Amino acid sequence: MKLNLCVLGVLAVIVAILPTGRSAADEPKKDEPKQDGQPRVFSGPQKGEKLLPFKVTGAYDHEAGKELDYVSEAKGKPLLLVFVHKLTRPSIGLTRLLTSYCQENFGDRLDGRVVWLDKDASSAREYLTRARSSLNLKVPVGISVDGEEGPGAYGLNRQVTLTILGAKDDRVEANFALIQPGETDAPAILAEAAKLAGAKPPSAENLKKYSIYGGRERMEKRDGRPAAGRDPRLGELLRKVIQKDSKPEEVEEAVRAVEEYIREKPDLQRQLGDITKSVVGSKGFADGGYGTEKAREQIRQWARKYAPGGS
Amino acid sequence: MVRGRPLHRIAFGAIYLLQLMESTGGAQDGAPLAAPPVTALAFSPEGRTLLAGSQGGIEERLWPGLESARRIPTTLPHVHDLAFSPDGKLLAAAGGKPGEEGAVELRAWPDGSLEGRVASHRDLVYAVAFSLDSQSFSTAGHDGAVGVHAIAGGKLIRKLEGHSRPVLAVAFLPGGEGLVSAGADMSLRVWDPAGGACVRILENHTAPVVDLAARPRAQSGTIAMLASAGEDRTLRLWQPGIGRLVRFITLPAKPLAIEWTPDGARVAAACDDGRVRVVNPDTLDLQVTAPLVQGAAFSLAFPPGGGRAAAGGEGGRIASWDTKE
Repeated sequence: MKLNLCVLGVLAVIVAILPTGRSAADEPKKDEPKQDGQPRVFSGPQKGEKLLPFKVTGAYDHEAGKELDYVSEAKGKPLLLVFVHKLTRPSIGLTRLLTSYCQENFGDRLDGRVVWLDKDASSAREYLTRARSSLNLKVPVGISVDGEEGPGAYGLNRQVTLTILGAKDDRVEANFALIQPGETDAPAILAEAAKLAGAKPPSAENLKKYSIYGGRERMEKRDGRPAAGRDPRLGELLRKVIQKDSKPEEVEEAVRAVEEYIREKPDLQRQLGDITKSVVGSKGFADGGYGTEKAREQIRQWARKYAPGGS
Repeated sequence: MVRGRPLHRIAFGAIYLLQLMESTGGAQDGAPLAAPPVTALAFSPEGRTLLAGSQGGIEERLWPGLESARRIPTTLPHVHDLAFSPDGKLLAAAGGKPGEEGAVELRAWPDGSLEGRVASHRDLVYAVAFSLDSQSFSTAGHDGAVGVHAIAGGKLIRKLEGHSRPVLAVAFLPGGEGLVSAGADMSLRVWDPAGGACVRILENHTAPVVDLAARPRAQSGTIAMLASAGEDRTLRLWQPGIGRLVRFITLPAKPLAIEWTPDGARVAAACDDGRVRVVNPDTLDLQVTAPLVQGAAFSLAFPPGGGRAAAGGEGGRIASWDTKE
């Protein structure tokens, strides 16, 4: 679960299209539960199920090194638990957004907690300490004592990137299993959190203050570039193109989805050109990153086709 | 009943053949010291006898005294699994000759006469399971394939391919919800046995998956559940119909065979330290027996009526214990 955030910071002008895991259910059955047209992925206790106590080791301040139990400590109070399975820029961005929003808007009405999952608790502790300022998490963070799969009673799915549970009275009220988390997931999650806290759901305007895209816009302004944010859906679709372990047919399908999405949309085509041109010019791309060779060739083609001046 | 067993586990057991057996607690039979490990156990449908399979063949013993009743002849040099059809009319013995043939013998019960022999795998068959309608059976092969056979004539209906390494276990889900296989590639695959399509892959284990057991629907209100045992020392509980890992427990020893109690209330694991661990699937509360056999316990079976249960281990030893204790 280690990723150098400094390197990611350098790539901040490029939309975050880091590969994440694949669904555990990649061969869908016709009548199975679906979520946004995809086979539903499960992780953790479901709505209505009991939220059982589990142990973590505190990471920061007076909690550092202490064994804690966030569920028991909450005593039935509304709780938002964010289990971080994989550290990616989008996953930590969403975690930061959610927990910061909860902290500043719901106050004592809801406790936000981050549970770090790592097979090596010592290196997790060392990483969390070293990267504390860049992670910038404003709620208590605990390292699961049960390793990278977390508490067994929770049945967390290590194929996902984030598992987010909203609970009240020790019952799960909301469950989000996110393979490719992004800020687009925030409104739905925070709406559930607001319900638990007895507060109003966040407005788009209010959420903007917490958005990393807001940050990007500011950076772009500094660079003298237009302040238009990247389209998050385009970023999500591109992530599917550059999955390292994708089969050729999966890459083709992901490419088709991107082309369908940008068809007859000049602004999105321009964004795709900007993104792919930046990617092609990056060190990561020169080092062979960004998916399979088929995906890399497609990125080159898009850069040539849509970026001003091509690549 | 016991399902797939990795070859290296059996080889591991074999090194103990010449070692002296020690008293290990629990009731044990008086098997000869140099007998091969008991790799398969199954209770006869009426629960009066216990069948034990090994490289030494198939032996029927009286229950609960474990006295030898008869030997059932077999052409299988290795017996890795024994299973009765749900209607109780057939006994299937799975195994074969390593590197040469994987086969299943179907024997009429109770007389034990050979009804058919199916050899559809290129290497050992580690597990066999009957469909709940007693019309077909499935096999798990070291050759990486899962076979679906008609009982009538033993014809291979379908070969299910997709596992990248040997298949070690296979189980039909209650209610005709499909067939599940698992193996050394660390995955569980849920199949539509009629169409042959793999409808789902469950990839949470981090080491080979050695056994599967579908929860019997003996209790109303219990959810359909499948248990899997892995060399990662976990026992995992799934809702395979929707691809959900419900919960798991990490055991202090490797589980080698798993079996639900007949009432579906608990799942038991025979472990490589000779103990059996019994898990409550809802709370993950764990009970553990004293060591039942020396070395590893390879096989496990519950009689239809519950009560005492049996575990098989190295040196041909079979032990019983009271499941209520």
